[in-house]
Amino acid sequence: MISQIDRCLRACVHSAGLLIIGILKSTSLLAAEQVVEQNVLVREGSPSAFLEYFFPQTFFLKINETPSLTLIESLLIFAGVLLAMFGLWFLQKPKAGTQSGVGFQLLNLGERKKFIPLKSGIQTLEFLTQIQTSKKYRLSANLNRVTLTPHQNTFVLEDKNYKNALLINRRRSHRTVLCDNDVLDVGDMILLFRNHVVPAGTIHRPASKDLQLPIVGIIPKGPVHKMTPILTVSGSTQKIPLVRNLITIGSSNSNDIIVEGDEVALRHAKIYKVGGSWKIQNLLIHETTTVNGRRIDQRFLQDGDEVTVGDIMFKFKSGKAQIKQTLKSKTETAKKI
Amino acid sequence: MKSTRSLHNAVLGLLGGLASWTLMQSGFHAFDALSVTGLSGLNIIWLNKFIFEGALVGLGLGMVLQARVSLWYHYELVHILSKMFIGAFIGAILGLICFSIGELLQVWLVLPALSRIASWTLLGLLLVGTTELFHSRSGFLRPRIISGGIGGAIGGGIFELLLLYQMTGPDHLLGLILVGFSISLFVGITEDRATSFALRVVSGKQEGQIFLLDQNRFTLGYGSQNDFILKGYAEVCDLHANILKKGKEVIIENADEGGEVLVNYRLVDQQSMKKGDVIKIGTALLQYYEI
Repeated sequence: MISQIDRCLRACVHSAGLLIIGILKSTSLLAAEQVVEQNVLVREGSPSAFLEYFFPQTFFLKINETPSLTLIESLLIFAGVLLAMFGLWFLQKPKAGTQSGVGFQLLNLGERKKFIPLKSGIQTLEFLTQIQTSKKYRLSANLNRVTLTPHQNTFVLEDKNYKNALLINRRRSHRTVLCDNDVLDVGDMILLFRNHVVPAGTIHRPASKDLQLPIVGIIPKGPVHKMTPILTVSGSTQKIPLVRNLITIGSSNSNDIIVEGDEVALRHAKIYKVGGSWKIQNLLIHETTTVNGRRIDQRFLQDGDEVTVGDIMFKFKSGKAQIKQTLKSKTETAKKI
Repeated sequence: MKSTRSLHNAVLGLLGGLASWTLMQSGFHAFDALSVTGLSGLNIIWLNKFIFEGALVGLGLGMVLQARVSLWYHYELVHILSKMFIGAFIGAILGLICFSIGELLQVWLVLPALSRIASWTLLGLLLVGTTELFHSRSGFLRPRIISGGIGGAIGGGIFELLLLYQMTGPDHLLGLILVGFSISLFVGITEDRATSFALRVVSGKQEGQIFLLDQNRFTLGYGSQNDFILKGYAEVCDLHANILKKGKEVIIENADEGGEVLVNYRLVDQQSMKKGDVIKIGTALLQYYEI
């Protein structure tokens, strides 16, 4: 079956080729005709004549008949090229941390592989002020109150001041047993704790309640009006439309937006409508609600404000801005048309 | 970092040109051997050496261009060898096509110099285009391919000038090397211009590696089809995360429900990243920054 098809196809190709040659012979330039005549006459329409008509032996790069290198030489040079590529690959090998022992590594940008070894005794974090860095970093003033105490091959970090802006793995902490690859933020400085003896994950930490996605929010019945402002949950694509005039946020089930987090109170904050704009109010003195990084009691919200309730961040988008956007896009499309 | 990558690309281009030259040398010896043994069936094809030339030039350049990214990120040797093999195969076919087109142009009474430049341009376009085939969703297709074409055109121009002044060296050594150099240099420059963000691996096996974000879309994970490959880490999925670039915003997105993406130790589905953010993928720690 296949062989028959093959034969058929070959016959077709052959006849088509002969046809083309025939047409060219009758119409094309004299020089071309000569070539065709030569080839066709001499080789009687063999496929090579057909090829040679279209691709005459004008070597494209016109390389000599006798190459300047022998076969072995050229193969050797080719092997050399491959070796050079391997060399480039080898050069790109990431220079992994060769340092052994316990210490901190500066993660700030522009700092080249700065490793700060730790002494074995009890010490404070004050030594950070004495390291030479390419840029001056803002550090907390009370670093002498932060102690590192040896504890089973590793260190315990303890903040006795409570006022230092000290983050361990980007969370506030006062007392932590450090393990490998922990990230410390001391003021502007980002430090990575290195200790190969205690690999990451070996020290059990009380699991902090992480953001449960999706957040339970108000589910509107039917389509939402364009003017309705929207809260976007940071870290996800979830959008909560503020369809009521008063919305409470907290961890208890009685709220409109239920947020489960470590630092979220049962009834934490409320967002309500005042005239045409929206206002947020903190409901408990000892809990924090911030707008654009500032702790607030109550405040009007503007478009694009970042609101944090406990440790969960929202982005506020007012309805007007949306309308403006849609208007803009409409005018743009109108202009395009 | 960016300029180092340009240098790396340029050196690779030089090596590609040299490779194609040596391949041509050895190929011609092979051709002679074949014609002596009198394999008459093959002779029909081998008669037209330029086809042979094109295939060999494409083979050398394609091999190097395809392996360029894997070499830069120091991926496994098996991965690089497979890329080189694929690149060589596709490059050979493309070289054949491009040089045949050039030859056809010569037949149709286009100036030989112009037809040669045209075929170099086409070769640059197609070679860079095929390197894009394997990450077609990158969103950075057009500028890269165009830069390949420009590189090819300029390389072809240099080649012709060298021919004119008879300075191409033994069997066009210098010309070939400069064509390879210019193609990969231009592609490298375009990539550098698009790069303004990077991810640095700060822990584990690949520590110190810097992933430069030049495309609009990246995939990150364990599998070898990804743009960025994380090997030697626990709890990393085959395709773990997508990184999308939208204007000045870079967004990380969890691509697999089985894996977790943490930005600043917080679980996220989709999050735009800020300078200095620490990203945790499985047990790998990455840091995001702007260049």
